[in-house]
Amino acid sequence: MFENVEIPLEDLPRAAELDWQPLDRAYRSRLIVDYVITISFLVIGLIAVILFAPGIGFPQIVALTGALVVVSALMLAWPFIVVPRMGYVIRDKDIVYRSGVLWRSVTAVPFNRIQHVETSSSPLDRRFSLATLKLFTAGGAGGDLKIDGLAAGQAEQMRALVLEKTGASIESR
Amino acid sequence: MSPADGPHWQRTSPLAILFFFGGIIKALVKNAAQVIAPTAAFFVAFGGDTQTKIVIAVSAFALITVTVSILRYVFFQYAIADDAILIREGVVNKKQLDIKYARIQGINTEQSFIYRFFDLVTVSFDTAGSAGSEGQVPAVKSGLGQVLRERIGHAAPNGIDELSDDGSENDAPTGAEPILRLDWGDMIAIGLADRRAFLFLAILAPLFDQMSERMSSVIANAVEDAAADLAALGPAIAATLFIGIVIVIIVVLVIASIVAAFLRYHNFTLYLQNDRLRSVGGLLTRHEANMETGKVQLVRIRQTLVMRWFDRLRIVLHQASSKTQKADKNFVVPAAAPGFEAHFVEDIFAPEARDLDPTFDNARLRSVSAHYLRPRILYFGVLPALAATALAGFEGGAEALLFLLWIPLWSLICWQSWRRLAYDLGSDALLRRSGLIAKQLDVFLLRKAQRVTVTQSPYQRRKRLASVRFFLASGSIRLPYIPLGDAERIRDYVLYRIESSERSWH
Repeated sequence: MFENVEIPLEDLPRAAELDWQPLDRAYRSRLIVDYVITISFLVIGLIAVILFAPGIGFPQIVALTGALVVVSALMLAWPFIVVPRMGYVIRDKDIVYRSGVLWRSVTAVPFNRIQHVETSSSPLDRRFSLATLKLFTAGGAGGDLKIDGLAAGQAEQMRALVLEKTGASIESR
Repeated sequence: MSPADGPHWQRTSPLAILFFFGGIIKALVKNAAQVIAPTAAFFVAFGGDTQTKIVIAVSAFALITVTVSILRYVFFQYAIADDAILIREGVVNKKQLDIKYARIQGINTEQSFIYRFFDLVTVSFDTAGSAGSEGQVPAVKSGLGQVLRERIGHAAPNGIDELSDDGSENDAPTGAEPILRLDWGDMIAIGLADRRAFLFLAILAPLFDQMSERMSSVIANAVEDAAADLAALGPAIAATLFIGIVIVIIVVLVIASIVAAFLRYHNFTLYLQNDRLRSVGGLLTRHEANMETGKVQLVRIRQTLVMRWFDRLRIVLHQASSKTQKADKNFVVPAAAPGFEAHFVEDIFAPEARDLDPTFDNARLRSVSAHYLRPRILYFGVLPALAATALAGFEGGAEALLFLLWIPLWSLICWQSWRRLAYDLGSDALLRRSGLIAKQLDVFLLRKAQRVTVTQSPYQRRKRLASVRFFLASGSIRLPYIPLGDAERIRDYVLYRIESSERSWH
């Protein structure tokens, strides 16, 4: 017998009141190293411009250097701002991920819609024992959910858990 | 055929050679650049007069393509197994395709003019998550599509009745009444509403401008020569001529797109039986499209200005697609009278979404916050206009102020799109209306969503607003600038519907 009991909206689990799990602390350092590499390339570029660009005057050099200093400072400060704003929660039926400082977003991916799961880590990630977890759902729009900056062991555990949950949801289907 | 016997391999009709031949020609046209080089080399490398060369080239070309087509036909085999259709093909690179019935989303058939005399069709399969249409079986008896459809639909109780094999009455499964039939008036509406014709016109316009200028000067000169005292009429004649040519081109384009509509949709008939949609139509090549209603991810109802004049609307059923896939896997109802869409959507989603009213004037539609307008007008209207005015102002000249006209124009556009934007959350489905000049209505079953994102910009945070985006297997739908509380409630409800759903989304 098909039943469809109405559930009052107030009784639904609320994704807004969640106990967000922070990303691994090492992720901040990883991002800083990332940005330091980028900044060093910018510095090399600036030096090349100063040395070789014809007709570059002192005011331009000051302006370019000033701009680089400001950009570098912002880049180095960024991980301290952005990482605490990121987080995830694994619930019984879905995984919720939040990110963004100015434009904040909260994405929920139900386990019974996950097609496959992937963990990956770049050489830099491995240096910090970090990994990325990717959750793929059907349809091409907007890419798939990607959670950076998880401790490697944690990412592996989450992958196993998600697989178990998706498997369970496929069976019950 | 029992599984123990192994698959029973079959050849298609020799007329499949035509299909392969067409395929080669299409591939050549697509790669025209690569074809030009060897052709040019041939012409340069060999001596002799041009005529001989052309004869040699044409006969060599014909010989090669025909031979390849025949070889392809000879090496093409298919078999219908219990759980899959198997295709073996390839002359040098052999490949075998196993297309599992469970993965097939739809079976489409196409009957070209020649095939029609022999009751043959080309069957193609849409599969979930593959790039392009992967399997095609050319030149098989038209009953095969039906047989396969039954095999795929065996899960559905009492599949469509066995097709009568006389081949004459294969337009309708026995007992199925068409739910829609289009006539020639609809073809005209479809043709006129086709944006491609006018896009073409827009691309041609600059070229055409120059052409007509030269033409009119030539003719004006001729007139001048003929009668010097009529020279004063020159500009008037040129203007008339110009307008005349514009009208002729528009008429030609309009006729061409109406002809295209006839070619594709002539006698378009739509059936819905046992949760399966089927459409048949086309003047020379007859196209048959199929889709299981369970595969529908999103229904898009659209009414352009031209369609509104004809009191028609267009319905497209989207199925799961990946980035690399073309949109032509969608099921299209090119024209239908308003009023049809409500029943149609209800039938497709049945037994779900009973409380839905998928019409443009649904009274339950709720508009989004008017704060939607501010960032749009500011960042894409006021700021660019001011910047342009300032930049042009340096050059001097009061004309720079003309840029400011962009602000009211853009504001009007934003205001109109905001007025259209509205949504209605039913118990099973969500409805979103949008559009600027055309009206559009997107409908999807909540349980078919793949994931949900709630975002807030700094401005939205100040106003306690948020945007919700639903990712479907066929794209995404966004509800911008709705109260944060509503956004979260909708998100939580949709998640609940997805997570408690026992039914498969595909």
